[in-house]
Amino acid sequence: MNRNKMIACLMLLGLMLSSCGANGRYQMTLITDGDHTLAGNTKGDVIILGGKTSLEKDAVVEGATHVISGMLRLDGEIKGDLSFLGGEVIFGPQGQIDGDLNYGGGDLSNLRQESVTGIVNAGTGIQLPAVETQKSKAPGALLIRWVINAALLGALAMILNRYLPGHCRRVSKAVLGHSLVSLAMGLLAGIVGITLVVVTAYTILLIPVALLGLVLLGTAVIFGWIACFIALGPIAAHYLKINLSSNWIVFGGTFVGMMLLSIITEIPIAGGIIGILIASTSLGAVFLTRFGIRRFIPESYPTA
Amino acid sequence: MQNNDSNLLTHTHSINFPRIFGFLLFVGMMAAGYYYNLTFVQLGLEDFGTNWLGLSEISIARDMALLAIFTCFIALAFGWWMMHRGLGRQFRVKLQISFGVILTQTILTAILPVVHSESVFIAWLVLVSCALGIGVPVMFSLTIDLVPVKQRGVAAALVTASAYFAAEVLSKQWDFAAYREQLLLVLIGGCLGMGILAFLRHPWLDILAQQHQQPAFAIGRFVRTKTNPNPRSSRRVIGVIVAMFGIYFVDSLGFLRLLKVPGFMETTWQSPIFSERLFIAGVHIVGALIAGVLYSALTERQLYFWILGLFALTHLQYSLHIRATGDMGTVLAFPMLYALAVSLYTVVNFAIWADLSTPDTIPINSALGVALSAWTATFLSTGLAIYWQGQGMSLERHIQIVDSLAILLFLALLVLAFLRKPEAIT
Repeated sequence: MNRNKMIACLMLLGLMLSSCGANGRYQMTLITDGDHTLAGNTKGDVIILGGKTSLEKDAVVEGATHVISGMLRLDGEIKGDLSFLGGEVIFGPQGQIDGDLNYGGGDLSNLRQESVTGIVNAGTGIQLPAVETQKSKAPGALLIRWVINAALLGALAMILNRYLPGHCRRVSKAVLGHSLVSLAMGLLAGIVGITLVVVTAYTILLIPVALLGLVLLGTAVIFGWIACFIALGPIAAHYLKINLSSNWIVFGGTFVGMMLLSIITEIPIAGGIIGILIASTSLGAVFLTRFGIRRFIPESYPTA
Repeated sequence: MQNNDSNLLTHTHSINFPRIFGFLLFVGMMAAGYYYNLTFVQLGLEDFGTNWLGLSEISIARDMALLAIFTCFIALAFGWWMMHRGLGRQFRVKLQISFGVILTQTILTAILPVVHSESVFIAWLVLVSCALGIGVPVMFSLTIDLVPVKQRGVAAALVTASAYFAAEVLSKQWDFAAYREQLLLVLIGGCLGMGILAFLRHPWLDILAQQHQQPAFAIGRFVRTKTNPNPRSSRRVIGVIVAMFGIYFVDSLGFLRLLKVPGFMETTWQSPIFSERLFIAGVHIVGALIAGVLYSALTERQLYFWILGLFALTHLQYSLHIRATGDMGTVLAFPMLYALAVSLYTVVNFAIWADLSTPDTIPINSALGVALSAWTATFLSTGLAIYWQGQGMSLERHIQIVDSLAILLFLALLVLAFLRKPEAIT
């Protein structure tokens, strides 16, 4: 990696980590193991994933507390809600929740009515805000959405073809010339990428990184589609004897391609599978060419 | 005139039946052999030692280590002997030795229930080690006779997919008796088939016996490069052995502990719900096919990055899960990633030793590779996993160590990639 790229990466990493700083927008305490005693004021939320935690008599948690596993002995005050999904919560005589108690599971002991200022939501009793019943979209609305999506991607294809023609060409060559390898790589990268996103999000601190990963995966798939449509557009125009400027062919190719893709993915069962295969192939090609930076050349064999 | 075409389907404008037969023979033989090792040897013997002989975990760990070391020794000695006798080029002799190996395994599998003490069990293990140790260089060296270089990824993918699919779908109970019953049928069928092939003459077998002379079969893809047409594989063999040892070690060390956690197994690999086991079997097939395609397209270093990265991620997942919920059941995403990683490296293992060899070096290279990395690593880590559990090491700590090892190996590969000398460009 050259010096400039490394500096850019470090700056990006620094920016992401800045959101996790002590003076940042969000603060929390994560407890995964061991014995802990919280005294005084604890800023932000507290998440308990394991171990034993004790909230002292005069201690105050300024945010919400989530107990997913482990044990919490509550003698102090929680200003927000207490959400309790598993493990054990023991209320001391001074234990106080200013918000609601959301009880999903686990052992709850010594709870007194006056310990909770808000309401106690247990089991299916959690009150959800009233949401209007979702109705399926009318075919017209779906078509409009497809047209808008296809037009936007068509415009993006024109921009990419104008400024990154080499990148697009390398990706499309990988998709069209090495479809099977691209598909295999895409399936692998997709499965691993999504798992990595989930694991990263699970750490809570790295949620911004997980979001970035998700955006990257999505961008790679869309870039792969566009690169293919840019390559296929002129071929289709040639066979259909359509005589337009190259920009309009790129736009038209992407537009028609996206519309076809949208229609295909609406086919029950097979549509979903085809959609996954096409998305994986695109992702794989982008991955193999490092976003079109380099040409993909498979390993060669000795010839006879 | 020799036919150097590496395509299975064409042979002077017609379907090349002998070549297809050879390809399928290899896939069937290796899949059955791997299924035997995967189920009966790796899981069944431990169950036999624990539940039939009443041995302690430490004793089983010691016995399995003995099996590993002895198998390794026999494989190396036999591989070296084969190389010096030029048996890598003797297709018919290899078939006859394979028949002997399968026959021995059949007899040993059949008589295991008469073993009632640890000393007899050790003697039985020594005999099994001999059969396995001889089987490794012989059967792996058949790759060079039966599978053209271009199709080795596909062949390895089919072997892996078949073995894991059968192991997952057919294994309702992971116990020695159930495995023995199933495998005796497979072994008896294998004995008959291999006996016919080894001792009868048929023109197809004569054609297969000549295939190793064709460049499309003889020279593995890693043996020569465009810049250096001379074979240069010794350093690469050592590198691959070290990498594969690490991969096998990490896999077995983690899995052997995970399978002792009923909460994990009952919701995944040993689920009473058939569709859940079918899902894992399906992942093995998809993973094997992905690996089969990528094996031909990527370098071995890139493949190792993926495999070790997958193992690191899988164990990290388990680590986080254990911290949060203890040994509560997992979702299918966990075994999915595990199955993917396992399928990837198994495919590489079935294809790479032949691709690092010529007909002369295949016996010793496959012995070095399979025995020194796969067998030794698997059984040493099995022994270590059993020992740690016997010493009372917590599940969380165990999985943390495995995850650390996987990450360490991944980083080591990164460092090696950074330090390597660029190849000459002509």
